[in-house]
Amino acid sequence: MGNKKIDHLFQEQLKNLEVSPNKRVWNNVKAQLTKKKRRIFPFWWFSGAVASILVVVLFFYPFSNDENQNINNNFDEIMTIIPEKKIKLNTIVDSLSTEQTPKNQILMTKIDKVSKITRKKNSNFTIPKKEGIQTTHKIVNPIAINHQPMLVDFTGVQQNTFLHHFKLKDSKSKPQKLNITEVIKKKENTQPSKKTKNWSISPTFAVLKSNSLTDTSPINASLSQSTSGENTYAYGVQIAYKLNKKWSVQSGIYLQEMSYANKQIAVNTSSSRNPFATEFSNGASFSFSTNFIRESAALSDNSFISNLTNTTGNVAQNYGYIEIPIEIKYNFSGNTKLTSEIVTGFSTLFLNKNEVVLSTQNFTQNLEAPNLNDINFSGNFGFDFNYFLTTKWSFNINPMFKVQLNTFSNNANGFTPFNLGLYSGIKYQF
Amino acid sequence: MEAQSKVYHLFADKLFGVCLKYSKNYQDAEDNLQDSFLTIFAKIKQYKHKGSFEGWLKRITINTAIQKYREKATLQIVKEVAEEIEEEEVDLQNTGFTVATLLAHIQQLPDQYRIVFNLYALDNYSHKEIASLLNISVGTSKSNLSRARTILKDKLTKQKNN
Repeated sequence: MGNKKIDHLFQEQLKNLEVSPNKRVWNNVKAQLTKKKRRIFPFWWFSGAVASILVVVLFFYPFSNDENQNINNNFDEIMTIIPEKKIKLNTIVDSLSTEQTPKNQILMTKIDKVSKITRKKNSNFTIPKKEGIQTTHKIVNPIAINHQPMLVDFTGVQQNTFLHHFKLKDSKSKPQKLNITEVIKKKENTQPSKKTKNWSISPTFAVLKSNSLTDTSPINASLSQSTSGENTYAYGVQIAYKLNKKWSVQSGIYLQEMSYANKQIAVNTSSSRNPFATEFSNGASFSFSTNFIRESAALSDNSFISNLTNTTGNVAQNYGYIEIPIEIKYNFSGNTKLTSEIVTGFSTLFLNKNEVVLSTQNFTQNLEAPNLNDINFSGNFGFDFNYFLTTKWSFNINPMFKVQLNTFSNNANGFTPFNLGLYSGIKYQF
Repeated sequence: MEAQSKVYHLFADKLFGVCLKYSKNYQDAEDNLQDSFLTIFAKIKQYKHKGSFEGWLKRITINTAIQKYREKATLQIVKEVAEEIEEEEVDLQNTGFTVATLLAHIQQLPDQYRIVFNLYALDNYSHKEIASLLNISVGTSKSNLSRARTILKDKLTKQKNN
């Protein structure tokens, strides 16, 4: 019987074989598909999101740890309140003068009403009961209704001003003006002396170790479990701005490289008909296998093996980015010599290098990975330790964990690259 | 999910047929079908409308079978020693071999022989393509095919004589 005949027999009977599979296959497929849809967002998404929200909030909400400035702010508040209060006082005073009734009597009743309200609104609020200035305090209190009780300490300073309002109806505006100019003077005097070194700049160098959260390969599915991360480097400049004692924001610009290798694997030229082969940017297709050595060793015993079409080789994938991070830092412990901070944030990465080097016994090819995105992001988390050499100069060590979020455009076999980096630099504060 | 369900129910029977031919038993064929559909739904965006959709689905199914074989091959290497088998002349013209028996014969072939025979005889792959898919040489592909044919012929002859 000829070969054709036997092939034909099977072809005729089995070529269009159709058999209904059991329902459980579809149920399993369905279960797997729904499971995939319920993706859990990993922490680095959150860290990036939290960091960006915090950065925005910190930029738009200027606050300070400087106590003097707090008081100054209160001065501002009082200054803005005064006109309103002036009207109130005027009406009270005017009514007093028109009705021609004893001042103190009406004042006391009106003020008592107000102070009752004050007590209700703020039960902790205590009104000092010193003779003579009693009324003044009570007048001031309604102003404080809408504000913190803190203002009470302050009223003592200005009580004379308010006393004037009552005692000298006609000249009430004069002391107030004086007061404002005093405040402004005070403010001007305090500001320059409180200026601290908020900015810092640091040239930075880092050693990175590329790695992946999954044991696959972005080049070819067959290369899973053979991809190893290599050591690379990054360098650049870091700029930080201190918002207050605890919080800082930092950015900068770095050149960063990632590198992966698959060693001692089988490389085969392939056709695009093979969906398991990888078609590179220049159109060349290659298929890969990790079991080359075992296979060839086993097969070499067989007499019928004439030649091997595949060759051993190494694949090296290197890609690089221009990295621009936005990170926030929280100082959790520190003294004048050493500070320790937690860093979190995200980086925008612009692809500036993309190469896949395929080297076998017979040929070496420089290729480009077809699935790398031009813009990538990473979620960053790490620590920042500063050792102060002088008040301006410090030595900086910064271990960082950066997970990339958008490295590949299409199927990269679940490859999720991250790098562990040790950044170090000399920081200058100004 | 509705679209996936449609694709599945439209092609499951045909692809299960493919799975049965490429697997050594029913259980393996089911696993293969399940994995194939998962790959299909994951890669469906990559379908470039070149050639028929059915052909594309079939290729993925075949490649899933090959992938599974290769994964298994890394765990165990069965060394097959060539045996001399006497060729007997059998007239297959009017024999009523059923689909089930032919399928059973194919399934009983050693893994690599079964895959090579399927690819070459039933799915019209060339030896070069088979070599590339299986990471073997063209020579190995040819010899595997010839061994597969010999085994099948032997089985059919025995069956007919009984």
